[in-house]
Amino acid sequence: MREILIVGLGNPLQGDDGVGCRAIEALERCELPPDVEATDGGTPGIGLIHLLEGRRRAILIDAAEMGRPPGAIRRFRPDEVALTGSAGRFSLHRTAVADALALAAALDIPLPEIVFYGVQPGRIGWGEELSPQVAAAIPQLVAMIMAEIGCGRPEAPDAARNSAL
Amino acid sequence: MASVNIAVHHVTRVEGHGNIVVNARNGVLEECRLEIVETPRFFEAMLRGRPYTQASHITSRICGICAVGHATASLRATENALGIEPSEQTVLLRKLNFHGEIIDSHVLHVYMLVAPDMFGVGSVIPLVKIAPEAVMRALRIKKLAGDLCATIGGRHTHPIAMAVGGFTHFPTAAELKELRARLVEARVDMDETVKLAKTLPWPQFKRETEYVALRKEDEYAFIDGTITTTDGGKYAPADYRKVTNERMVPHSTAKHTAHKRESYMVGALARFNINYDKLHPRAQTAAAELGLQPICTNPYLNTAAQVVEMVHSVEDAIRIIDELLERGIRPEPLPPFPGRGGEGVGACEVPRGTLFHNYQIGDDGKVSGANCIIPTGQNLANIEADMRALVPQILDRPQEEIRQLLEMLVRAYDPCISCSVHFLDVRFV
Repeated sequence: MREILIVGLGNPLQGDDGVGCRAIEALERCELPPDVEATDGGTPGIGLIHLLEGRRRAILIDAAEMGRPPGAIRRFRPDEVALTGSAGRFSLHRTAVADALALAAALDIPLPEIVFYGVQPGRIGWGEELSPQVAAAIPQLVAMIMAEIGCGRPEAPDAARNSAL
Repeated sequence: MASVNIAVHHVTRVEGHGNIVVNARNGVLEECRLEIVETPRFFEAMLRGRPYTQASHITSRICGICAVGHATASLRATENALGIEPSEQTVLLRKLNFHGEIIDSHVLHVYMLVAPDMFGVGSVIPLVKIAPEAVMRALRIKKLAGDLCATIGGRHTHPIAMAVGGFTHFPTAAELKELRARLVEARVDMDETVKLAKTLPWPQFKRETEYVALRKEDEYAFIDGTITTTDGGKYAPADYRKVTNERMVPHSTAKHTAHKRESYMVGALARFNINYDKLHPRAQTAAAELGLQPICTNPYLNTAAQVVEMVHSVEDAIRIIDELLERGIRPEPLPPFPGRGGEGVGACEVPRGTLFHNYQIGDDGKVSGANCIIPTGQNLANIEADMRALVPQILDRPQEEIRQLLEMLVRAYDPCISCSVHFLDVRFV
């Protein structure tokens, strides 16, 4: 089992909800270090716990409702946000991610160090197309994640600008 | 006389969003319906023009819980359309994969969605405090089921190795042996699950219902079979429309189905009622422990039937692995496109009931038309019929208790409402 796991979450049939899966497709074309695995996690629900268990670090890529312009990228840790969808400024629309993390915490299941890369969706609904702004964000997203795992340049200047929008 | 006015928006712990509306005045039921709030989307349109080899990969993404079920129904529809016969090894691997998904889905429903009701807590998180060992057991079973699906299907959640006419990845004998050992160990967890189910306070309610499931004479059917109903119908999968008879109803964007009565039920309880004689002896013993015998007409016991099916799937998975190990796994090439298209139906018993995929494939190998009818869509009319029968029997109870019993009823069907948004019949011309 590789120490670092990059998981793309979401449903690629639901428009921008599939941005995580599409980012994984792009990452699979990059040269990843031997200790890094990239996987299209789809919509695993509670099964997310089993994907994460035993890893040292996990990078979760998901569409996230953040009240920002479509395509905006933001890196955050689970404790920086409320994942429930109502209370916090950020909400991941798929609460199963929050449920899985909460259940693991309640059961004292050790999870890896988790970092989210949230991408603000433009359109969520049946259809495989990403909205243009979200599709355009993927190269920046990939660059940020490659930097996160110690490959390539640190965060590209335009990515930083985008994430600060 | 009692008056109640219940509106539950977005029933929790079901997959997707649904509303319950019940109004009664002076003891008379005036309104009783399950609303599906999502608007219809034309999922089938996504398949049109796509190569037949992609259909199962696309449809397996409809749902993270029924990925193997959708993929299998899709592959069977495609194979029937193209006249492709899967090998014995392929059939065995698919059955094994399917058992993984049945266990995975049922354990989630029994422990995470239904058990909290029975323990009187709001979700599985507080359940951890009351019954931590039960929640850990559920996760253990779920992990085994997920690993089984990943070993055969090639990946967790979505079965990328499943293809038209075969597989693109094959498990090793060592992997199968390891799974077998874990499945044997899981018998203890199955016994504990039956014990737990026995102690749960199942609501008492009965209503004569028509049950519909696939049936095979040589096994408890999950893939293929004859559509069979307790009211006496038998149909080939290709004639599924004679059973489903879809119709629009004003309050739902999802169509309702009906066969000989105003509604029918599909799912674990329907399969149990129709195929009890094909269950593994250990599963029949589990049913006896739970006081479950065919024909059971209490829809709340659909969850108990899921427990029985989990026991069956563990045993049958062990049997299939033994058969595969004895035969030896051989990589097999995928069959080529036969050069002409056709129409075909695939029918499977996915965790929530009978699933139909129906494709037309052109001579160019591209999908030209598609229809999909999901289990939850077939159960909607029956859930409403249950609610109409149940509410007058419990009208004298406190409103909160009525609401709870109605929510539990909807949850018992394990509805996947997020799926039911895209099952409108679309014909492409």
